[in-house]
Amino acid sequence: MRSVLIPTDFTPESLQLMEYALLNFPGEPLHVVLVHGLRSPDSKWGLIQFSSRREAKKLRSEAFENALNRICKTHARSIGSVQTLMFTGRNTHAFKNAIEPLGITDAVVPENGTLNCRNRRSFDPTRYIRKCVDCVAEVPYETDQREASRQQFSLQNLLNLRT
Amino acid sequence: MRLRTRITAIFVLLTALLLLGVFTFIFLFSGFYTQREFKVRMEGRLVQLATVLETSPVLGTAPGEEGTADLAAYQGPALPEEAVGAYPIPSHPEMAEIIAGQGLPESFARDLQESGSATWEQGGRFYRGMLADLPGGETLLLLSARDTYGLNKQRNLLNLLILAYALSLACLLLLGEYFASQALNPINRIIRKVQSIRAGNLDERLEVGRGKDELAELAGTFNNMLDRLEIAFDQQSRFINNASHELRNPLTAILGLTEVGQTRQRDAASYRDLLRDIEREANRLDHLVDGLLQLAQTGESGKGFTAVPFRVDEIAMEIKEAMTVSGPGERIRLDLEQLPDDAREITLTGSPTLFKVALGNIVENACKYSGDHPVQLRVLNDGNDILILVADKGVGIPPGELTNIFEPFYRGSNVRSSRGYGFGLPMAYRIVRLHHGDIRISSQPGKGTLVTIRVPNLQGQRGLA
Repeated sequence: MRSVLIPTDFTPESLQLMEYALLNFPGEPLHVVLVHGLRSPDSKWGLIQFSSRREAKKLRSEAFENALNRICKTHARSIGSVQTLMFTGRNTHAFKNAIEPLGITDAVVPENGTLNCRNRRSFDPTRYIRKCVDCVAEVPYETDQREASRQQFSLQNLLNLRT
Repeated sequence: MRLRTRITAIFVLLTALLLLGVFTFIFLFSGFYTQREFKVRMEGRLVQLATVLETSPVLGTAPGEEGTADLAAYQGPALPEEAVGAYPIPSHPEMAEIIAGQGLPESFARDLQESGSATWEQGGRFYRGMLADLPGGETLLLLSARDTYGLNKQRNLLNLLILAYALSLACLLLLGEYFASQALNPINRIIRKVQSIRAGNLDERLEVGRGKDELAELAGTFNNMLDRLEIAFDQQSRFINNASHELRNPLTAILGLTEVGQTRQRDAASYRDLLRDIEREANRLDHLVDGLLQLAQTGESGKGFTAVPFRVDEIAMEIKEAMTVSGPGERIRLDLEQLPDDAREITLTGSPTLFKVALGNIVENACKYSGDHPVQLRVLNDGNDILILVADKGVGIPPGELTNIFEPFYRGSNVRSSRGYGFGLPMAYRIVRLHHGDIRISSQPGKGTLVTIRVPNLQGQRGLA
């Protein structure tokens, strides 16, 4: 089973990348790893309390769950399994270490656009994927580019004020 | 009436009513307190009179006889137009006679009997009576006076309030006019700006500003509408360009061929060849015009088509069969393994003919642009929706062109050498939209295209209704 890494911002739109994974790797079941970047807490108490599974559960909206279930059901034969990876590191080495046990061989990332991470502590792990995975397929990703761009370059984002 | 005038009028009217209520309240309560103060002063004067009479009681002795006390000690500031009287009263009926003799009502005598004191006001003159137990027996003390100062005070207050009210109204009018114009200025700016936007400067937008108020929302809504208008204009312009281009090509070919035929005398075989070429180009033109007509008929309104329930899997099978006859059907892998047990879950109400055209166009495109690779056609159910997946491993659609593929006559930059008119996908899109469905396309050059059609089944359509 081929393991494919796909960045996600836990929006239904980001799951388009899964369809592109199916286009790129047809004929074999895929183990899809959805990776989401999340800054680890700054305080000691926060670190003690931190649970990536709980954070993932908080970020996964109902619409996202429905869309994921729908894609998995539609392409049941092509998608073997889906796993979520919360990356809390801050550099390429940490990312390599995080994906190493998963046996990732390929990745599908958005070509021009960036993921629209609304959460204050979330970040787009696409740049780490480009550096750490050997075969990266860059695919068109349809999203509201103006909204994504506005958010990406907003003062709120620069000062990390988003909630 | 203009909105500005209406806002000013409502503002002034409401404030004027409020002010009128407040001023009336002030005036009435001021009168009430003035009267109460005057009555207290009358009471004080009567108590003073009773004290004087207690020490030097020189009173009449006969019942009802008016006494003449030495009122030298009864001094101090008298009330305006003050008149006093002290009447010894052996019995209550006689008191009533005395009171009636003074022109006072019976209720005055009744109040006196019940509470020992009474007050009456007539024509601006106040009467105050009090029963005092003096050494000469029970005595009725009567005092009458006119509250000249209080009346003057009330009159002055009334004048002041009327003046203040008039000035307030004038100020309110000016302020109301100013604030109404201030409030409506942004709307006037929006109106002027919107009026200045024509087909030539559709790229201009209204200033939204930094605020998050209703006016910013209105400007934002106008801008969104202008965005849509601009896109529609662009689409229309592109459509006209593409349509003219596509229509002109066969016409130019026909004109060229007829010109060639007229240049010199030819043999019959050459003329037949020429006529065959002209027929081919005329057929192409005919096909184009047919396509345009069909596209126009599949408008968003959905008028004129009879809706009947039909099964999507049957349509898919018919398409495969039809395409097998014409050639590429052999490469279609029809996958119906995930069909639900209940046929109603893959049944929808609509036009089976139109739906067949839509799905046929998509499958035909997939076959046309995927060379010898197989094309997968799957039908499955997802809750209240029917999903139709068409996957090919063809040339794909270049990035950036995905948003244009539903425009009539638009053809991908990597397939322009193939035969086609750019009608298939726009028509399919319109037909699917007519069936309350949606088409999503994921495509990558060299890898292939995945078309996902989602249409509501019978249950889903019931929910939409």
